[in-house]
Amino acid sequence: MVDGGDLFGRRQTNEKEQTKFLCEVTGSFGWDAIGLGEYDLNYGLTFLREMIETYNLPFTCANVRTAETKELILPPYLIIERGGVRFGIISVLDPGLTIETMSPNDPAFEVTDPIAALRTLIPQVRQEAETILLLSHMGDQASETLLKEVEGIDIAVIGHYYRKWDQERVIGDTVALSAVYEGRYMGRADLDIDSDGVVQSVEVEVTALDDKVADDPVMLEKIEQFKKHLEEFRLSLRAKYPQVKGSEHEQFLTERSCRTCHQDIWELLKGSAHQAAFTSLGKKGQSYNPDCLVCHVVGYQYKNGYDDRPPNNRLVNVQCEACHGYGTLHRRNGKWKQEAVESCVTCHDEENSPNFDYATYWEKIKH
Amino acid sequence: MAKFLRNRVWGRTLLLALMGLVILLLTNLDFRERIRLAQSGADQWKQITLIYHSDCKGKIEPCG
Repeated sequence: MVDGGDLFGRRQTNEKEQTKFLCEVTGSFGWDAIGLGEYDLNYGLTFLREMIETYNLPFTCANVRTAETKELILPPYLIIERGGVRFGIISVLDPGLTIETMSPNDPAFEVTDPIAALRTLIPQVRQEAETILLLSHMGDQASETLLKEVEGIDIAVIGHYYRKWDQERVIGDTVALSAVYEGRYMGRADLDIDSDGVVQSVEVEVTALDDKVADDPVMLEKIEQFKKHLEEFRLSLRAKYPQVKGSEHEQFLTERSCRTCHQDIWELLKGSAHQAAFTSLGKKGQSYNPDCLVCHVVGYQYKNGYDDRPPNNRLVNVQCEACHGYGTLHRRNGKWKQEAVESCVTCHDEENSPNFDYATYWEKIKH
Repeated sequence: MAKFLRNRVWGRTLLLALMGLVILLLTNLDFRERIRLAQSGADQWKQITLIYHSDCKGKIEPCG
């Protein structure tokens, strides 16, 4: 049983919790090999290694190294014997994919040419295995190019791809398979392998893991328990900054409402750092971090302010009301200008914005 | 009988028929050998079931 990579979730604190749970339960499945996807480094190398050791996850990758030492971060291949056949399982990652981690202490990574890596490795693996199985985390097109270029791969499972293949595809001498994604499908290939390790025939069945497939009651119970844990975790994060400021009688109306009268200002501010504040958090995997959110959304500590659930999850980025206050209040009295000036330093403080100078910064958003 | 075999036409026909029989026999033997060899090869094939998946992306339930 193999996985083509990207087992881990996105760079968000809650998804990191979910990934830990996923590693625990899939570890019990007894994977034979897991290829490395760029998502699998989202929480850093230390976290990945912790999951590997704790839950016996057989990750492998032949072309990701630390930029400094040039050492491979994972075993380049695995040898396993199943049904009397020795498999050499190799995994490669597309060098075009970006690896970003949530962990600031991680080393930089270097993804080397997968074709060169495979050409070097395959003769070596051949000495130990009859059949070579590639976990190609490169999507369909790059994988196809690779399989045409590199000889000696018997089977390939394609990852970093969003379409399932109901049948195998033969690319060069390789039987290529794909069953993706987000746990929606599971592929099964019944293979006849000859004494030289060559696939002589294959029958593929891709099953949609939908309501027609009965849930395992033990797993279902584990998931329900985990969901309760995740909710407690979410609330514990939220509790750090309770919504105690402002008034429950006022509402943040979002910039959409502001634009009905102030379209010219909105045009002026379009593309500013304020308007990408939440997106920038997401890029750093901090969009669930209350310490960061407080300055990257509207009214995080305010009643009726940002919440990570609808309807107030639309109050993302530093919209008008982040500086000017409740839209409902402004509609009535218009007394917000001085408050807006004072509001800058609540986020542009010594720690987060040491070079802040009101006059200089104001020029960037003058309106 | 001897007279019949001395007949040039019938004699050639019989010869051709005998040659055909020999060819058929040899060919049949070859087919049987091939089938036997193929069957013995297939006997050595190993049946493996590969379960595969990718890009779970941290999901424990479908989004919708």
